[in-house]
Amino acid sequence: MSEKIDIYLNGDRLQVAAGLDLQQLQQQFATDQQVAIALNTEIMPRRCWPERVLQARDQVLMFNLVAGG
Amino acid sequence: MFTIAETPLPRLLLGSGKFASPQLMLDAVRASGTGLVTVALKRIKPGQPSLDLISPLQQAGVKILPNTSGAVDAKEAIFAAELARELLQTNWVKLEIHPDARFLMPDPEQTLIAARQLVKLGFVVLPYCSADPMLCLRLQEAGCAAVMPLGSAIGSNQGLQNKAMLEIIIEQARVPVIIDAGLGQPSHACAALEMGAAAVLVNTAIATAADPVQAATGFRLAVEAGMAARAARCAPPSLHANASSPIDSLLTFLS
Amino acid sequence: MRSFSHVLAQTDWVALQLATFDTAAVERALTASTLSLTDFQALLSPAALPRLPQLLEKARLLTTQQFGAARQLFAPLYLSNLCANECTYCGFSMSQAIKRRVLTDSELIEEAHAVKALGHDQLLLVAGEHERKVGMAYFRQQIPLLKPLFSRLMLEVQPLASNDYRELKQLGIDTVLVYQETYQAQAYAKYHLKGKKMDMIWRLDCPDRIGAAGVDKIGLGILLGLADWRLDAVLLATHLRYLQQQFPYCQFSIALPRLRPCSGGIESSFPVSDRELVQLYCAFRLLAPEIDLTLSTRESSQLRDLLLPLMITSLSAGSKTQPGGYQVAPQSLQQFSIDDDRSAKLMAQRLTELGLQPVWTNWHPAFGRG
Repeated sequence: MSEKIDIYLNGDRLQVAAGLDLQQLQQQFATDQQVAIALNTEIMPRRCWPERVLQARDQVLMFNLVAGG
Repeated sequence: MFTIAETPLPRLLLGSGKFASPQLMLDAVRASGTGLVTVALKRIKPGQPSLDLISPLQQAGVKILPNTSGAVDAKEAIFAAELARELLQTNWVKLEIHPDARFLMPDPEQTLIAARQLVKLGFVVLPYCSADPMLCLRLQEAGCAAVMPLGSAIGSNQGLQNKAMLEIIIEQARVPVIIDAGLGQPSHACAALEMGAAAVLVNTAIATAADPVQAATGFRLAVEAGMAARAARCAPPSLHANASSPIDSLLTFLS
Repeated sequence: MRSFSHVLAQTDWVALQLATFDTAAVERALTASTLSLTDFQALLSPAALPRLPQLLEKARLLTTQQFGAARQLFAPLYLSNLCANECTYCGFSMSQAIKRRVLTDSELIEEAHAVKALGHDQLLLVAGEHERKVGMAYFRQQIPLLKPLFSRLMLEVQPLASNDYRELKQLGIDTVLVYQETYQAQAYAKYHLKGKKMDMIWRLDCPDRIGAAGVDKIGLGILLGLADWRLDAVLLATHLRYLQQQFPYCQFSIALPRLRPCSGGIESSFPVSDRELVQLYCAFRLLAPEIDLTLSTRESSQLRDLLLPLMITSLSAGSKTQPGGYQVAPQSLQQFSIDDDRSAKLMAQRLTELGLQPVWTNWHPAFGRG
């Protein structure tokens, strides 16, 4: 059984597998959606997602585009 | 068509909010003949599928312009713009900052601060602002690609309430003037184009009309009518009904 | 420092109560683009009743222009029914011999998960007034347990002090509701017989303290049935306008609950008919197109379904009005009886059938904010 860590995704506390990267996080929680990610208030370019592994207590913000404005 | 950052666009721009359904929004987009639709950013609900706006709009051949709606100050607006740039891989952004909860008036100070910074960061900035000629000059000087003064308060459908100010803005502008917010009927859009605006942005009037597709068509035709009027240079209304004025007669005699 | 109680003290409420309005006044109010308080009163008068269809159409138009089809869903979660006040209209009143309960940490989490399982993402925390057992110390402990579970946290408890609201904002409370019940002092004194709630000024000035603390949204309301509803409505409108001027970046919502049967409760001496309730909601929509209007589950499903497309933008669904009501102790006494007991999922379905868009999560963008 793999180790789990606590992170925050859009304010919700989540348990994810240790070693999960941003790309995998997006695939798991925003499957097939085009999103933008900020990690601990820093915007993460898409090309960095597979390299950036989540640490405990990381605060992730994930945005998509919606009608409105 | 008019041009922003070397991109030609039809003169009617659309907002995507307040439609009764996504399909209706797409139908209205098609009927309007628009080339650009504004969208907003929102945090996702983890695990919940959400509607893909991007593909249908791209298939319809329109450019998607992200806005910073929801930002209450320059810092948030810049953050939103950078998120949007990452998401859409576009450096175009509609800058809108309206902390005022009642009338949604755009914040001139924060908008100018954000505009300056965003231009430095390489964005093509389209700022939404009040019909303030001096502010529009400053935004232009800051390097904005257009200025977007309001016709009247968002959603109010009151039309062109600041005609005198808008005329000054149009007169002084070196960038396209896109009249945004408060246009309630096609005739307002026609008047805006007749007045000399480069384009108009319409959202509430179309989205909440009883027949949004018909409304979108109406606005498209109105924009064309406005442009035709401008090209025709129809005589402006005169104060007196004269067959010919004494001055005209003299000038004719002297020529 | 100026606050609303001072404004109210200077208001000539006798003149307000005696004011009469004719058809011309109603016409002016119907066509005005920004309503004055006099226009608002005209829309509440008997002279406006024949124009109810036009009133409804304008309300519908304004609501659609402002909100499109979006309708916000939330659930109340009662933290406790312990109360140190004696309010003659309330089932939790101090003298009522009911089993008192304050949710423990684990009970709260259980209740919260039960509410989440219903689909909700916006939570309204409610409690009776008990400074010692359900005061800031309790809130300080409980709110952090709930913050990771819900996108929006609202609070409806006893009036607190300014620094309490600043702290609550830091803890993550987005909205604070405090309903005046009635703005008429004589009536207020009749219904509030014991406890801190007797202090009308403390309650009247509460929204000022909430606004000054920078809380995003304030919920106001009156309890219809306690006193002359037209006078209370115009005083509530006065309060709203005052607060909007004082705190232009703050959002507002208004609720107009009608007195409902509850254990040990009173019959209303000032009943408000369905027609009058509709007139009231219309008038508020015309007065303030930008605010949320809430209709609770006290009202029938029939009435809710009719008003939702026209002017109501915020509603509770699948509500339980007793602490532990969702999971831990569903049989305990409710604060008031519910009429619309449709589940949240059913309500969302119904909204879609009505051509509306149920919204569970309203982040109210917060780019980069907590």
